[in-house]
Amino acid sequence: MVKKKLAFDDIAYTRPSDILFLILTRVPVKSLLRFKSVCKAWNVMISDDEFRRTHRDQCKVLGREKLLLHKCYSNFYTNEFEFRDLETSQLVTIAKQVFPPEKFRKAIILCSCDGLLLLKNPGAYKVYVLWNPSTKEYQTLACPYFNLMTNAKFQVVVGCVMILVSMITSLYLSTSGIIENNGCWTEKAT
Amino acid sequence: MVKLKSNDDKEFEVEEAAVIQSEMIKNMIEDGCATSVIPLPNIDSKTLIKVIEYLNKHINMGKAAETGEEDDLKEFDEQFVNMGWEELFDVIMAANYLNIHELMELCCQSAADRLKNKSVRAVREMLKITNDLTEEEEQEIINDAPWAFEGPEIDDTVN
Repeated sequence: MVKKKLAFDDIAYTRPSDILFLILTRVPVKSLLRFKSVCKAWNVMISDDEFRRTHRDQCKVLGREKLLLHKCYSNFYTNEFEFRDLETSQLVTIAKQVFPPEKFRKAIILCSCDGLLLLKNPGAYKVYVLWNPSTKEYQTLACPYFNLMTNAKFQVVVGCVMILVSMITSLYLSTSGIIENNGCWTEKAT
Repeated sequence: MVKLKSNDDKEFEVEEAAVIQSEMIKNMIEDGCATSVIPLPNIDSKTLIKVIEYLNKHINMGKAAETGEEDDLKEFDEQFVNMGWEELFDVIMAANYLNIHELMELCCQSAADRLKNKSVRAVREMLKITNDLTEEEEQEIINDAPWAFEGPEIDDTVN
C-alpha cells in the first residue's frame, strides 16, 4: 500500500520550474528578451530550443500569427515594413520596423514561415537574408549552388527558397541555426 | 458525490458532474478506483477549496452558453484569478496535477499577463528571485536586445 502511494506521488510530481515554463511560454517575445536578465535559470530556460518551440506553438494556439506584413508604399525605397493586425482591423498598423542592413535597402519579401521572413534584393540572386522581426535578429545567407545558365537561374532560386523554408520550419523561431557548409545550407550542430 | 481528501487530512464532497472536469479523477472514476475517498497528497485544503469553487462554477458551462450567462462566467474567472502569486502558483500546480485544462489555461494566462510588461527589477521582487548573473552576463543580455528594455509600457511597480 505504502509502495503504491509512493509511485503515485512520483508520477504526479511537478517542479515549480515546469509551471514557470508554462507561464513564460505565454509571454510576448519582447518581454522574454528582457526577462533573460532576471537570473541564470530564466536565461537558460528562455534561450532553450524546447522553450522556443513551445512558445511558437502557444502563439499559434492563441492566434497571434494573424498579422499582415507589407512594405510601406509611401516610402518604397526604404526598408520599412508594416505589421497590421488582421483580427481587429486591417487599417490599424500595430508596428513599423526598419530592416537594418543598408545593402538590403530595396529588399522584397520572398516568403514567410512561422514569423520568419526571407528577403532578397531584386537585383541579387545569390544573397538572401533571413529576418525575425519579433526578435529583430537577422542572418544573411549565400545561395550555395548557383547555376550560370540563365534560364536555369530561376529554378535554382526557387529550389533554394523551398529548401530554406523547410529548414526554417524545423528550426523554429531561430535564425541562428543555419550555416553554409560545403556548398549547401545545413542545420548548425548543437 | 465524490470525496476528495487534501494533504492536511480534510475531506470535501463534490458532485460527480463537477469533479469530472478533472481528467485525472474522471479516469479514476471510469476505472472504478474512486469508490471511497480520493487522496490528493500534494494539494492543501486552502488550494483545494479554490479548485472546487472553480469546478462548481464551471459545472454548467454548456448551459451557460445557451442561457447567455457567459458574461457571468467571464466575470467569475476575472475575480477568481485575483489572488497572490503563491496562491496562484498553488492553484496552477493543483490544476496541472488534477489535469483540469481550462483552469490551467486561465491561471497561466493570468500569470503571463501580470508579468509581461514588468521591468526586470519588478519581476525579481514579485517572484522573490535573487539575481545570480554577473554584471558582464547581464550587460551582454541587455546589449543583445537593448530595445526590449525600453518602451512606455514597461512597468516598474510591484503588484
